[in-house]
Amino acid sequence: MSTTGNDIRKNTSVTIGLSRGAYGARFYDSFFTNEFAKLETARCERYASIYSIILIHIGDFDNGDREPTKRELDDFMKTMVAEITDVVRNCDVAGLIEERKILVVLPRTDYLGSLITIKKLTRALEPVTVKGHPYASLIFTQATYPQDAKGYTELLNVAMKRIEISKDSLWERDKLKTRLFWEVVAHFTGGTLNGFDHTTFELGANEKLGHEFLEKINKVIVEDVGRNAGSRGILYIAPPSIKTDMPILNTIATVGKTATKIFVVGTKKDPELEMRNATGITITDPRMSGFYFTFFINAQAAYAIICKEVWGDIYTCFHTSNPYIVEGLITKFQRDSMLQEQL
Amino acid sequence: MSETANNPYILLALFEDDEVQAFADLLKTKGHETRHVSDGARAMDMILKDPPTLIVVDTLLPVVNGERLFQTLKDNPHTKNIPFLFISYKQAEIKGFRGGTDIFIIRPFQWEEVYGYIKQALHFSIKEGAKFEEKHIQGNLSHMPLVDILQVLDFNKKEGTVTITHGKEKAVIYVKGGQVCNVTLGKCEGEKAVYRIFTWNEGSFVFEPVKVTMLKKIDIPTGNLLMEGMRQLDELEKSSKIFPADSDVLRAKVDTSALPKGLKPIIYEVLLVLGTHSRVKDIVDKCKVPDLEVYQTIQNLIERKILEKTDEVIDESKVVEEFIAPGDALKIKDKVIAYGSDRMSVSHGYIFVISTSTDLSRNLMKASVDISGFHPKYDLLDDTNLDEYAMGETGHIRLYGELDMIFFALAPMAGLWPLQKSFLSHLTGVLVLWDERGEATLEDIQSIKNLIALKKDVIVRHVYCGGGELDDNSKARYAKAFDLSPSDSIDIFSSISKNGVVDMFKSFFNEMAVGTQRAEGS
Repeated sequence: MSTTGNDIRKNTSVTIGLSRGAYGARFYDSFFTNEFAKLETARCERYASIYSIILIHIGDFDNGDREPTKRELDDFMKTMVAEITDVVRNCDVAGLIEERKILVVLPRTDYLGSLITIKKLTRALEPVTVKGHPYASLIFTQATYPQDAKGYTELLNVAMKRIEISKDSLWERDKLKTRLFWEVVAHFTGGTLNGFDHTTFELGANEKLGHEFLEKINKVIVEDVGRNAGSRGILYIAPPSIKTDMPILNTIATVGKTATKIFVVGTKKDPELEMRNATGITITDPRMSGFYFTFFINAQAAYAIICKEVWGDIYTCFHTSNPYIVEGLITKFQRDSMLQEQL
Repeated sequence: MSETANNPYILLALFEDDEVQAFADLLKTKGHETRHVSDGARAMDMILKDPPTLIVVDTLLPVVNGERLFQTLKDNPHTKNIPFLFISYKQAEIKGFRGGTDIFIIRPFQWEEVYGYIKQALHFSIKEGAKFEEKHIQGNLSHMPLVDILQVLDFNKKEGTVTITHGKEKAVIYVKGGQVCNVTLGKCEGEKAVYRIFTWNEGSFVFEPVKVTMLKKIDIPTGNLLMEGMRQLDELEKSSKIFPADSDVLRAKVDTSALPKGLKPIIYEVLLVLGTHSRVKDIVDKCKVPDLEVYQTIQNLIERKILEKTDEVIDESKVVEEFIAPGDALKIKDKVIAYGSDRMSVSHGYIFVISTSTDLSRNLMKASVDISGFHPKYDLLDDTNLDEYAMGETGHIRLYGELDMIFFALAPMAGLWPLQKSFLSHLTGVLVLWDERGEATLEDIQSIKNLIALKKDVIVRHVYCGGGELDDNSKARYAKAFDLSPSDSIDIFSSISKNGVVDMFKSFFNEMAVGTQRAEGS
């Protein structure tokens, strides 16, 4: 791709001929969308309710070196808008709020609800992101009122800021969106990756942290899940091996019923056990052997740790608290292992 | 419970033969009987004649589709509690879908995962009769004993709280689906609290039908709880003359560290608590197991000459009352509440304890046991615990408004920041503990403090645990290491003298409530 081509793609306007109704009755202009969001904020403040916004940033077009034609851009927007309005509910409002930014307002939707909508949108927009021509890179971010901000403008700023953070994140930078789960795992455990919210470290014999550290991490996460019993979330634990007297199973049993879905992932070698408050899953993929991981996400926190047995008793571990990476790992794991895609 | 068949079965309301066969084979290997119908009309007929324990249904079932079948059956009193497992090729909204009971899965699916969901659905079926009532129920235990109250609530599958006032004591029983899920009585909770209340013959009670979000800490069914409670009451009454008096003061007669391994956990717990509390009443209060078991264990240890009574008299006036005012506790709760959280559902806040070694946290927690509402994690207090870096809860203080402030230990390694960041949402304060031996890790601790400050505005207290006073050079050196301003202070804690711990915590919590010092004051 030439520099000139990149400049063209970045500067290409997508708002050609956009007016209310230009792309369908349920896709609005910026005035309407912003006003709706402000009203929704006022409503939520009055009734102590919540809502979320999703911001879709239309990034670079990949169309070789030539500029996409007007017709192509028009078709692109029409496809995109049609898919968005098909996915969102009747009560949701979607509109183009500025150049290359589409806002979707989701009334009565919490953080996890907005992530689920992002998943649906990602899948529905594959025709314009990876399969279509031209296709664009899309970045999805979200923000939830009042958790992230107490006013609409601040909420929008949070979502905008998250787009900038996302652009610089490991997930976007290393183009992990389009890779398969095991490719992503290999990427994370194949070298040293250190950033603000992710690091690589070693575990095992003669290291500062021993094997029991992984058990401690799982215990601490499960206890936190128990303390936030009403908070929706999802937790996958894939320990080195599953045994009847595993401490983590006792911890899960004692925290009681929670709104977090807990899954304990094993392989064919592991026994089938009765688990209280958790669902056992068996993955037959031979690549599971030698890898151990924990993925956790809820409205307050996100955490993922992947450990790869390197040699002897040493593990190389990558861990992150970046919610986009954690959510991406969970989605890819579910998809590639044919598990139910859910949060 | 729904009126299920004498022979429980799972109904497969599916029309794709391969899928039916696969489900039937899977469920048969797991010991479940199945029956199959291929359209909604036949499904309706079979379910009404002979209700199954679970219905697996395709959303596109012919004649009467899956959603319609669900809508009809969930309004029927004989079938309303049967869980549904919907299967579809794409996501669909099912009106009336009961989260936690019904399941929705999309093809293609993984069979082990599906069976996991089926097991959960069969286990957690809705209990009948859990309705909200508008009227409160109240009375006195002298007319209606606690046993009768709990039996009535169990029979009617009620949800709500029973508040019992007995003199100056107040207990709250949390009931959900008729089952007791937790009880709080002053500083104790769970089964221990329940069995104590059984000893009350007098006291007013009020039942309020409210939604219970309390964490479930009692797993025993109410019926069993009542029987066990009566048994414990009888035993306590019979044995009260044999057991030591509450005012007796005990001490260890032998070196307890030389005791053999493999004894009952209650013995180790009693001896551990004896390290900080010597009065029988205090030991009984601090141990987590029910009172009868504690008394029996103490008596046993006295008979075996491991413990003996002394003539020491405990000064009652030294008992510390509520150490933080309710107003301040509520201010702290406000800081804990995440945006959008319901005030009533917030139950805890975190205080990170970043310590250069586990010993320092252990000594500080040991010194804090006299603080009103403080509950250490006793396994941390065990000196044989050789963990170099503790992680997770080391103790908690329960404040007014049932807010638990949890002391959460973090290993002093900046590389673990992603893990530490995961717990920031409820963070209200940070305690940094160090001594001369841990000076090599001070830089890492400062890095963690800086990272926290980027994300959250919290109070940080620096506590030097080396014992003795700090000279000016040392103060300057540590102030530089922690980037402290001239107005920031360093607390001194000595594990030997334990002086000033209560005052230090009082001031720490007061700062949290008022918010006078800031982490970035560094």
